[in-house]
Amino acid sequence: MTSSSTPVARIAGRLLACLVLALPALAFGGAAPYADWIFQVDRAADARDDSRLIELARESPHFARIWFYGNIFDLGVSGIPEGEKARIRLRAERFAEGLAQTEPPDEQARLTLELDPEALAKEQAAQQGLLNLALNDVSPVSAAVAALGDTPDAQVPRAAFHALLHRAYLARPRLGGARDALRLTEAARGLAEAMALVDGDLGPWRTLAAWQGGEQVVADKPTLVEERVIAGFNGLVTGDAAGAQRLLDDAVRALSQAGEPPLRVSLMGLGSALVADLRSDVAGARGVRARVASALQVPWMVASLHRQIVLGHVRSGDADGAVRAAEVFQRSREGVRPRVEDGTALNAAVVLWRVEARSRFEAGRLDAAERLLAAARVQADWLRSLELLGATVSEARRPVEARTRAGRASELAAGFGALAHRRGRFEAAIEAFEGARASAAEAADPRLEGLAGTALARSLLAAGRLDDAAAAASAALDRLKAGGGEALADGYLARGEVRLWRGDLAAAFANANEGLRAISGGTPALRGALHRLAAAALAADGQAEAGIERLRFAAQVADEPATARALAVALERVGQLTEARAALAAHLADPDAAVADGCLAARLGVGADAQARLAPWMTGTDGDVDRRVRAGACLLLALDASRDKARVAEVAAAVNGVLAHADPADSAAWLAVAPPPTPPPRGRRSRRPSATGCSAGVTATGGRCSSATSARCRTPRRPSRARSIGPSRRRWRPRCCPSRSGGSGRAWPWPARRRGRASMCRRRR
Amino acid sequence: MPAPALNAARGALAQAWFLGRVLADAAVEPAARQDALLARQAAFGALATAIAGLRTAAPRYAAYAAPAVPTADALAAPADRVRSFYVLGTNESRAFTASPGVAALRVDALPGRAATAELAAEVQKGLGAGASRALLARAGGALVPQAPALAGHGLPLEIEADGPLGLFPFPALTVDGAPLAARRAVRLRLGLAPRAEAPATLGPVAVLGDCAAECAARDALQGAGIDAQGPVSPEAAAGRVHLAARVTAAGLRAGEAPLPTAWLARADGRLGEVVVGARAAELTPKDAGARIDAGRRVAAAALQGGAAAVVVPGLPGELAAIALWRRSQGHRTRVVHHVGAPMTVVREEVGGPARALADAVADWQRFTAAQSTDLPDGGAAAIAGPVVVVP
Repeated sequence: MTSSSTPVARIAGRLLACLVLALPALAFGGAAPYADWIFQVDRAADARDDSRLIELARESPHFARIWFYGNIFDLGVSGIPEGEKARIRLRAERFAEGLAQTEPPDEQARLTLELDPEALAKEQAAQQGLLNLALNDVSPVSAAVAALGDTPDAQVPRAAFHALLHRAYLARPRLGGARDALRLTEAARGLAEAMALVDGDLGPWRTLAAWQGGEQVVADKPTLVEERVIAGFNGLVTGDAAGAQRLLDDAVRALSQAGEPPLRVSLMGLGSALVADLRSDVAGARGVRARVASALQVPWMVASLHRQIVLGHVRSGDADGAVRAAEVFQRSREGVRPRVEDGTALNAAVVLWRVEARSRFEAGRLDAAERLLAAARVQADWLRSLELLGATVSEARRPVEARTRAGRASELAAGFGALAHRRGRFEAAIEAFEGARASAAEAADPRLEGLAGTALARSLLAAGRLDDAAAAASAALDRLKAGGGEALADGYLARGEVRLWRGDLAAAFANANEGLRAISGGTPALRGALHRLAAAALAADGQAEAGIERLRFAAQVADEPATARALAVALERVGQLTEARAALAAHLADPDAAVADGCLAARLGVGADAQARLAPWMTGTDGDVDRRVRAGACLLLALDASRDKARVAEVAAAVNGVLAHADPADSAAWLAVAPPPTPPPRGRRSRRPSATGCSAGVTATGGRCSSATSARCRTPRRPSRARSIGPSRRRWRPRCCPSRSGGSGRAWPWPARRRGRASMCRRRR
Repeated sequence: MPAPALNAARGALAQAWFLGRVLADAAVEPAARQDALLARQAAFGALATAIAGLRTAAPRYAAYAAPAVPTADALAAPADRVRSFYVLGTNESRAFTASPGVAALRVDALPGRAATAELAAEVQKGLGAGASRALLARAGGALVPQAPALAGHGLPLEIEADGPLGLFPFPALTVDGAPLAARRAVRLRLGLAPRAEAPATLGPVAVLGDCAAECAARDALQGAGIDAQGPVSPEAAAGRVHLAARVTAAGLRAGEAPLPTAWLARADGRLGEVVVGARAAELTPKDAGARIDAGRRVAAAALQGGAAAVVVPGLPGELAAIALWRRSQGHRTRVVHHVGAPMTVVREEVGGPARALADAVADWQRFTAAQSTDLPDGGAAAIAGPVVVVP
């Protein structure tokens, strides 16, 4: 061990280091990090080291903003020499570039740079109005907050806040400048406080702390109220939620009791929202902001609060809540200049809605998915509008952002297309997918264009436009080839399906194999679909065994219902019914697999299985008509019609109601086994028990009804009125009638029915 | 041009199938499913129209896909002879034989037109140069397969054929070791080419079954009183049932006795071949609907029972799917898979409106493949195999 490594030597070394590092600060009368930063900027500028300037902005975005907004508006002042303006612009451009490279990127500086001198002058005038109100008041903090009620948008206080700090920096070395600097800093603190509360962003507060040379904001001789406010915000910065909550709650009461401006008191109520943010209590934060927003009258503040409510829903994954919040936000921001943050928040919402819509679509919640897509489309259209892009995205990034948003619009349109396709509205789906493809082309995204084209091809196929489908599938494949992967494999699958429908078996088979080559490994479901395509082409070509082998392999790759059903079909076609049932065994939860299994069981004579699988489809009203008819036909095969007539009648009743709408093939299958339909009633005569006009057990012979019981036939007692007719009585008596008890053991029924029977018998005679 | 019509048929088929999938999707809202249901009905209509377009565009296709099947009336043999009528098809030809006192037709399969022509040319050439016994025996077996079954008759055989078999020297062919002419007198008549729309003029129903003695269907037939009307003894002894029945408004009837269609459905592959038809001229407006409906039931039942083929006339208003089952191609030994219970799974694979529909379109493709040299579209769409789709 060396002597320098002894404890005493180490302590001495550390003290020396601290002294050396403290000397510059002492020389400037205290910590002056911004001044240090300016010193470095000047040095880099003198050396014409642009990259260093950018780096300085990226490393210290707080100071870069202070300098930027402290100087940029001079470009709109006519009295400043052009050389000076050029110097300012040069640095401003570098800082804007550096700020755009931060995470998250700060685009506002670039946007400000794009303003023309007149607009800059206007901005500066607005700032000056705000500053005059603040700086001429006894309490610059409260005055600054109160003055925000008159500002048109959020950009003015933001720029003013940074400009104040730069002016404070400039004022400090002057005679009496310390006092001016203090007032300027207090006004800046008021703005930082308000912006933190309104925007939910502690950035300005941290900027102030950084400008002061620490991590927390300090004030010179603060009042008790101000002390609580400052401590509360500092607590938020340091993550002390409990302390911050207590202090900010106290601050609300104290500000109110001290007669502070109502706007400041109201805004301070948002401190609870900041605390809730810190605690990740999204619902709590939303509630506070909604309550304050309903009481506020300053449009840009209300819009900002509603934007944060949208973001709160997005962060908690509450897609439906975000829909409602976005609608409120859009109403609240009418007449307010769009902000960069607006685009960020709504972009996040659109992404959430798209993802959630897809998940709902896959879960079969189509209406719910459509609601999200509709909401997303409204916002996505607004995000793509030139007005918003111009106001919130810098010129340098605008083309890229426009493409990104076009891509998002393409995805949304594809979502609508998928919904329409699933609902069988193929023309609407085609329109949507064409829109998606056009938007994808606008986004210059070949993958998206290819995906939209693939979906378009499938909808064209479903609409029966095979030639168009083939063209769309080929075009899509061209776009997907560069990217490869599953999208390319799916493109091959779509083209293969179209070709299969067109009867181009060899090409379809080739497409299946090309698709499999495009994904090594890949999603089992996609691989299974490609194998099924290949197997279908083989089977269609008469190579049944090869098709079966391929399907067996597909079942190993992806044991899913579609593959099992296809395998069962193929096995059934070669007469392997038991094997076909075995293929379906693991997928009986799938409705079609269950019906297929039931039908196979019926053919194999396993009546119990058949009935168990098929009977459930005979009930309910909203099932698939084809499936019901198919299941009914198979069920009749399984039932012993001669013994279970009641059940047969039940099945017939269940199927006959939907028969007219079923697939002709299924209808035909049903008609083949169905019992003859009951003739429609035709008045009272329809009640006749048989086609001969006689009841069961009675035959028509020589135009007369006769039966073994006819000898015992007794004329039923006529009503008294009829009896009074007398002579007609004999002629009225029916010549044929069953036993009194009839076949069913019931008494011969009612007069009306008797008359009908009698008239029939008379007619036949 | 046939190609657009073919595309239209395929398109309508695809549309109907995809709409069927919409109907099967439980997640789709009832209103959307109702719309899909209506759209599918329209697709079926479009399919029927497209198929009709195919037939109009290429009359030869109609002849190919549904070649003429002579009716018992048309072939009604005089009491003094047996008549055989030859129809040449692209893939397979047939000989229809009518015997006195038998209402049914016997149908035998022969090689397709090209193979028949080749064999006929070989025989013709051989006859001039002293044809071998083997050749004559082979030709006899291939071209007059009905002859051995007619051994019980001593009646003359009248053969009506056209094309390569027109006035062909059938008498010289060897059957059971002897020339045909040695057993019976053979008369030759030059036949006419089958008319393209011949099936539309079909008369009675002919049901030809290949039913073993223990066949339940046979019992059903007998129970239905078919024996009095139907099978001739030698055929019945061999387990082959010949049956002629008419489609009436009340259903299928053999003579006055009703023939239950249910047994057709339960034959489960034991049916050989079923031809269903109804003479359009016989249909009066009053009973047309009922008879068409009865025809559908018979066709459906036969398919359900695994019949090899079903031919139904394309009557106005007929269900499109049934109309498409008129496929002479089904006369091949291949079993047309069942449309009923087993069709459940078939439908899953084939997709849709029914495999029969897909096969009907595939017939067209095979036809164009076979006829590509003299078709307007040059057989561009000529691909063999039915239309299938991956679920």
